[in-house]
Amino acid sequence: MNRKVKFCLNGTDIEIEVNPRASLLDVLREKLRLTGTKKGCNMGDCGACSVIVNGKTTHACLTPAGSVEGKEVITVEGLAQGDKLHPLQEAFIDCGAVQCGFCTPGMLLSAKALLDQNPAPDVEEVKEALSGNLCRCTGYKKIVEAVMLAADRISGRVARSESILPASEPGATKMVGKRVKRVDALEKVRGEAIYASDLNLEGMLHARVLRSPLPHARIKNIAATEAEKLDGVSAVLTAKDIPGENKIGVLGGPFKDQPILCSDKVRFVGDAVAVVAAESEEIAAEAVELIKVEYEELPAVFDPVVAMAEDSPRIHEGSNVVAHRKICKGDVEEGFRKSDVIIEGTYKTPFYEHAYIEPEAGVAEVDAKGNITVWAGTQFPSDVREEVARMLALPFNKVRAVQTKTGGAFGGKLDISIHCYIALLAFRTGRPVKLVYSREESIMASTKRHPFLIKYKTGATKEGKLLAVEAELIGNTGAYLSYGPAVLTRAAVHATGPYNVPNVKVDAYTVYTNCFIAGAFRGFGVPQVAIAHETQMDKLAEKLGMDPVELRLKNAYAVGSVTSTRQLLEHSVGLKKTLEKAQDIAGQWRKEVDNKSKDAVKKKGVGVGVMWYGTGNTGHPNPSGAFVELLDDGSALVLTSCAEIGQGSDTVLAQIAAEELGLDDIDRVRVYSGDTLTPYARGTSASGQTYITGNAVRLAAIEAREPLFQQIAQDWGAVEENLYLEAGVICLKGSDKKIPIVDAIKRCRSLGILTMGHGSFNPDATPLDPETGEGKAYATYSFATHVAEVEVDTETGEVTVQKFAAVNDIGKAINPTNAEGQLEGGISLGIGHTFMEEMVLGNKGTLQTSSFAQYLIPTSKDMPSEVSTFIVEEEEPSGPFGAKGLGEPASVPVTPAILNAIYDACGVRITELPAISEKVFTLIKRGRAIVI
Amino acid sequence: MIKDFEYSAPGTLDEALSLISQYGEDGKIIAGGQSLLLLMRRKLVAPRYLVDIKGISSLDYINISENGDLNIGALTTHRAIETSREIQQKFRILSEMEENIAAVENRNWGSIGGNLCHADPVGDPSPVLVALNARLEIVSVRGERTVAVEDFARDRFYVNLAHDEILTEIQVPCPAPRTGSKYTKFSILEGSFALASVAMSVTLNAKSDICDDVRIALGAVNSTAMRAREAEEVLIGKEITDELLEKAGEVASGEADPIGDMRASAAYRKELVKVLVKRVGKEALLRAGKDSWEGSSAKSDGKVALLGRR
Repeated sequence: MNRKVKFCLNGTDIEIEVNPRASLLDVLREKLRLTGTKKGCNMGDCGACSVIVNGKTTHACLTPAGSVEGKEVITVEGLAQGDKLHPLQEAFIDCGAVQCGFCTPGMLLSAKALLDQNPAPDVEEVKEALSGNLCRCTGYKKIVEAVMLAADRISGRVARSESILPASEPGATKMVGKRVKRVDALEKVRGEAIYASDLNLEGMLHARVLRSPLPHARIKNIAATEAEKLDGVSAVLTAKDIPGENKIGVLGGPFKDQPILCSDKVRFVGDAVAVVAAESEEIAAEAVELIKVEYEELPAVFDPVVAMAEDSPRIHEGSNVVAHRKICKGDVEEGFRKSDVIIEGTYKTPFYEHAYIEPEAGVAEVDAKGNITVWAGTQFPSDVREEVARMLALPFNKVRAVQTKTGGAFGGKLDISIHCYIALLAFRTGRPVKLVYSREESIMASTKRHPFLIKYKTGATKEGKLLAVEAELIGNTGAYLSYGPAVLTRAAVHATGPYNVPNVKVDAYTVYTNCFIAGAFRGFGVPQVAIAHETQMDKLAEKLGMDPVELRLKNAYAVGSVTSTRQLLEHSVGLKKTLEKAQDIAGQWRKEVDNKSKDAVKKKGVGVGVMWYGTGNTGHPNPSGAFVELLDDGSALVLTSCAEIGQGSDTVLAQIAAEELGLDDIDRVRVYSGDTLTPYARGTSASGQTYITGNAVRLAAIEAREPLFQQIAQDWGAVEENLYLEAGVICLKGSDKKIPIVDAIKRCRSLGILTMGHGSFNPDATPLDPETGEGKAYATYSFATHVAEVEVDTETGEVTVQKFAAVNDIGKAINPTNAEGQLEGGISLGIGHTFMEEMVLGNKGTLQTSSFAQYLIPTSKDMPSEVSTFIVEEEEPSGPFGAKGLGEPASVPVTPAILNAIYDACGVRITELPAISEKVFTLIKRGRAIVI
Repeated sequence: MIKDFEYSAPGTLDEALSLISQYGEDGKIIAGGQSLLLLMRRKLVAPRYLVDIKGISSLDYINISENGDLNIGALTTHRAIETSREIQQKFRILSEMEENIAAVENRNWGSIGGNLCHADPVGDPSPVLVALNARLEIVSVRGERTVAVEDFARDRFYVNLAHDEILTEIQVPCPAPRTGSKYTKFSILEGSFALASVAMSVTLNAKSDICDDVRIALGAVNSTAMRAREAEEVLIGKEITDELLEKAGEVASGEADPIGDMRASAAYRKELVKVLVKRVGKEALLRAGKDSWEGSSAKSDGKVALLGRR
């Protein structure tokens, strides 16, 4: 029974009819089409829907629509006055506080409510006010800075033109290296950025997926009649309705092992069995419950070690051990024989959830000519096109994948999620179809980080020279492969850490189980092995009585080092610089740590963690392409399918193009990305977009300006090589000849010459030998050393990170603000993974952590009070202006640094993640018992 | 998805009482909705009639009477209690407790009465109000009654409240002179659910530092907030020392009957009770005005001195 509700929305009185069961969020988004307020969990846990009601923030999802009667509601759409932004919106842009943008509207409103009541908050008050707003990208630091800046500007303590950020780096007059404001920040702070769930097409149906309640079962029968008969249901589809291939898998070829809809077997709780399209979400949900599936339950296996046994239940046709990556260098036996010291360790990591704040969503539509378009969040539009086309048996060019703004991804949106379901339903019904996962479905159905079981053995001389490393890695890939074998391969390649080891043997196994699907997650196997190699290094240093950083320096890669795949490192190895900087920081912190009172309940410690990370895919081609066109007015258009997922690639690509085209204003470049009607790009993964797509854009920009240089050189009777571009003017070296680029373009046009270019780039890597792993795994590597200071409450096991410093060698930082944002976000992810995050399966493979109330991720209050980031620019000659990868290296060393700091503080080695307080407590107690 | 229901939003208590007495078992009261809407979305609760009482402004107040008793209207939000100057000054334990409930958004909308009626065993207000010996006023068309907070929750998510009754007021007696109280919860994230929590209110003798009275309430370690009566006995009538607090912690830990789940084992929760009783007790004593605390606060952090003797 509907009722009328009157309230004042963003200054305007409105009266609408609502169903009382609707939340304020539903009313805003669905009835009023104010989609700036986001739905991240619908459970009051994430804060993406924070709005202000009568001056106070509330979760719109937990506010009954009826209860705002007579009240005043402010949403993100009400912040700016026309073109005039609210000071908070300006500060968010200026400080680089916006990444994926999905949490931004809620953050802004929480911040506004705070500043309205408390115009001069301190940092703790800001953190408190924002603690209900989860952000997975930024690490909160720049957001807190932005709120402080806005407070200062509102009160007049700081003039609006003043920025708290350092000005551009000295000498950086060009676009590369400049702290350019993100090109997508404005629409994000205004709540105008369109994410897939914000799309509504005429005549659109709503989809829902029926998922398996069992971890392993044969499907005997699917009865859909009841569901089909329900009023408002347009289609109930199962595997038999798929015209083309019912197999997906991002690695392609033989690794495509996941049915879009299961026909014979289900392999995990959450496996998809049927899809429904109906007139409303409610009807679709009801219909799904009416589908009756008859299962014959099969024995399930969740432990990868058990799954490896010959007599274990088979999850697919062949062995559960799908892949075995071997790396062999030298003779490990000999290496251990010569070693004075041998350190062994076993390490275990859990499934982690990406926990992007935007759940998977998409809309698909078929046009009159049978072309199909899928608008959706994704990291890999080109793969969406391919998988949808295969499923529908269509030529690839009839499928268009358009990446909508993507609210965080971290590897979890590389795989197909909603895409094939909506495409299939649109194809079968002829109507647009929308599907938005609930938080629970997102957690259940999306990929996770591979849990690893690592057995590790290190041998060294008494002087601390590493002689041998032997490691066995078992990766639980769950029910389907996703990126499994590639994750284990990358882990194997990186298993030694960035250290010279003459004798190496690594065996990495990818194993099926009936757990969630494990795939790519920011680090791709390297975070897991880094925990092992960095703990090993600390144990070795302790045994040898050496300083942990000295030990690392002694073995650290430098130019001329040869990796375990026998790749010679020829350039850009900034590891030692990161170690030296970290050594200074750690030394300083150690001096300040006061553990003199041996009786203190709270103990402090300092630890370091090191990593290396190859940019781009491992030993595989992974090219990207781009088009660049210089238009008549001198502005430029950049086209590429590269997916901007919040990491900032659109901005970086714009800077690269602007640099090559001599444009000094970022607004003169428009990057149109993430649409498969533009050139193919690799997925946003492996920290590769700046290096790979950046190179493609650079080459395309050079080709686009080429005709100008040719023509003008000819006009001037000069040599083309002597021409250069600066601030929109073509100049001739050693002469005062100049022509504005616009005039040069005009000149070319008068002769019928266009100015457009294409570029493609594939990193220089070679396949790895299947027996020895020998090969050039990556074209270039990034390096980092992180430092953590922790305090351990020895009576409860509670650990808090008090200070954290990241020192990363990323090559040239195209945009230092973006780079810092990546580092800060990486730190918060690492803190979550270290202390609180873990996907838990119940006895029968059922999901126990289905919400953000159960799967906890860090809030603004969980960040250390001191977070500092340092960038080492060891330029990579093959990178665009010397750049290499950063996204994943930002996070990899965080957990190792913290674990080593915990040991330093209280003598407890955490070797099984997460380091929840109970675990720390138990180990402390055990240690004490042993002492007694 | 939530099932359809009939919604009403009465503006007065009388209207609300008359509605719920008509609806009986089919009706459900919603205050802030921070808990109920979640239960409804998970289909754990599916009322036919939903009576939204949030608009009853007569139940939204904080009063401290001349004799120092505190009365809080059941619909007062967590945030209002947290930020009330009077409460911060005179019932500091309450505002401190509120600071760590979920996030500002939840505290702005959720009410203390709703929280108590939801009776989540990990809820924060219950143990604090039990320690403060608070009572609840409950009203129906049949009349009024009061009940001690201690006796209100019967089991997890189950309270001593008939279908036609509404919790209207929380009554906190003025603490006796030389009374100090403190609440601490241990949770994985600040603001998230407690793994264990302890609230303690200590009253010292006017002339000596003898403990005349103490109430120790434990949260999240039983189906409801519970008194640790045996632990109280350890302290009453004595001058409280480190050793005695340690003992009280051990006894309280024995009284606790927690469950183990994916967040923490039962054994660990019991360990937390031990530590929390000690720490909370020490702070409560300081607040009660015990000025001769051995070694002052610097040493009060040094509980390992005791451990070392083991």
